[in-house]
Amino acid sequence: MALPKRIIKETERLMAEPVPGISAVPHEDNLRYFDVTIDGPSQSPYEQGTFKLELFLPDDYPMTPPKVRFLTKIYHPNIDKLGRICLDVLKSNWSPALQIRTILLSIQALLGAPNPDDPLANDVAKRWKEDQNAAIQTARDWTTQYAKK
Amino acid sequence: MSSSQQISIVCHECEHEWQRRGNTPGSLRCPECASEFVEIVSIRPRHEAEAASSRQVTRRPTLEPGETSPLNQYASGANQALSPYRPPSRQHQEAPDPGEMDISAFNIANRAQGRTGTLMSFTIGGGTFGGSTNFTAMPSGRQDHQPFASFGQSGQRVAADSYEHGYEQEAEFRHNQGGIFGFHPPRPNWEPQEQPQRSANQQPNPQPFADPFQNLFMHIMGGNARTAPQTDPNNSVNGLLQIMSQLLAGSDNLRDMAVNDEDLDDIITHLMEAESHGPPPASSEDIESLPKKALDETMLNEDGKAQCTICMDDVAVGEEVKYLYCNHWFHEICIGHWLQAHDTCPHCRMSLKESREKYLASKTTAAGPGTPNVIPPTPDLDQGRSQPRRHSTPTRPSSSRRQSHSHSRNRPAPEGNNRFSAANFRNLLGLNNNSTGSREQRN
Repeated sequence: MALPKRIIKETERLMAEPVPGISAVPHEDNLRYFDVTIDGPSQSPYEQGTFKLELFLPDDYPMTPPKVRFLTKIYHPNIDKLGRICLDVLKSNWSPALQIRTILLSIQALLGAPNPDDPLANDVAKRWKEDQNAAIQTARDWTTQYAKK
Repeated sequence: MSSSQQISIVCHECEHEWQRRGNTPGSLRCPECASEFVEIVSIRPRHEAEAASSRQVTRRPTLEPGETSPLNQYASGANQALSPYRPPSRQHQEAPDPGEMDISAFNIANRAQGRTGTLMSFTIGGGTFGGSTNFTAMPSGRQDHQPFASFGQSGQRVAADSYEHGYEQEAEFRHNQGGIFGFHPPRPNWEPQEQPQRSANQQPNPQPFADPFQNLFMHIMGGNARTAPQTDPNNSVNGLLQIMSQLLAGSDNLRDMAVNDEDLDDIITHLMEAESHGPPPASSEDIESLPKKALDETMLNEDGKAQCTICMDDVAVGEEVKYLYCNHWFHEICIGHWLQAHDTCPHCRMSLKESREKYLASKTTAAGPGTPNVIPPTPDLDQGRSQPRRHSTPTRPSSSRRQSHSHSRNRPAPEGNNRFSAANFRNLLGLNNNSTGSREQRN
């Protein structure tokens, strides 16, 4: 299946004008599959961490959202142990006007603004609500342990 | 797993089966026919293997606790394209080989290659034969056999193995499977193919609860299940299977049945994706009735270009594009594709109906119908959404939207970015007046 022009354009732009703190590099043998890294936002428990993700553009992209998953272990109420992300724009609020870069920015923003009220990782969310300081400390520890630059 | 294992391998080409100790690296190749179409059918720690072989004296009239269920082998082969069932000829090649009795444990390593395929066939089989639910996923050849009985046994076997190997979480899950489908086989006919040995198998199982794992399942199944099978195992099992098949009846895809954590996770992922497919499609009538307009200079961005945000292709001046009432435009084919899936503007998320009503309202309140001097509709991002967004991240609406809009000056930015000129809009209105007029009549 030929690669749609949009994917080529997005890839070119990601390379030419990379978003600070975010990189997305397509695999040579599969240009729909990207190796992604996102830097933890400053003033978040993920600061100083670099998180690896995988991103896949399905056949009907951009009519359906990219599939994105964290590969680096992360302690976050909206990211589960398999790295699946609970984010509206990756699901029901996807729009074809969004792009890889905007999605990755949204994920970076999610790191800066965890939402324990709509959890994916229930245990993490519970702790986040009950003892936020402890949860944030765990997130920091995990960042140091798993996402060290 | 270390070298203290015995691995049983079967060749699917010549049905040769052999054992080897340990995890010797290297390719798996049949020593008989050199085929690589081989499969590891079981791995078990050596001490168990030895224990099992020492207590095996005769050839399996009934299935002993430590004995192999060939269904395990079939199961492991189920993910392969070929029939997962052992060809009949295999039976006769199986000389009474003490080593063969060592094949017992379900192959944990095997899950990596065929994790979904392995137990799935059991599940399907149980559903089919116990509850008369017709599943297409069923390998057709199977119906000649008695997989129901085998099924029960293998469910138990797999769960038992999980238990043995301390895979607690998986074991728990599989115990469910085993408990539901196979806690007590009516008859341990573990040979799915009609064979001469069948007669030996047809004697009733003299020790219904000989296997500790069966007892475990009894326990899991609760009191009713514990007593019922003693008198009439078929009824009890059928009852359970009926329940299961009722549960399964609504499932289009039997692969939804999970057998381990990974499968379960896959299913959850799938459900998460399916959970939120976004807004429903727009009617084709509404899509058709959207106005079209040729791109003009006023619609170009700072760089003197215009781009359809869906395909990201440049649009030349004079090229016809489709307008939504929120004033966002796209290639007809691009926006058509999207609206057929979801009735929202890709930019402001307003539905066609919403934006049309808004547009008409603004038109009448501001200047009355037919007057070109109307206030441009200023779509409110939040009104475009009837449902609260999940994890609305603070930066997304601004930053991401800015990103996607940065190239198109002509598009009125929904968050109050006042780039949209009155002249531009008037231009557009000349065209919209006609089409909305006809729409008003229709309403």
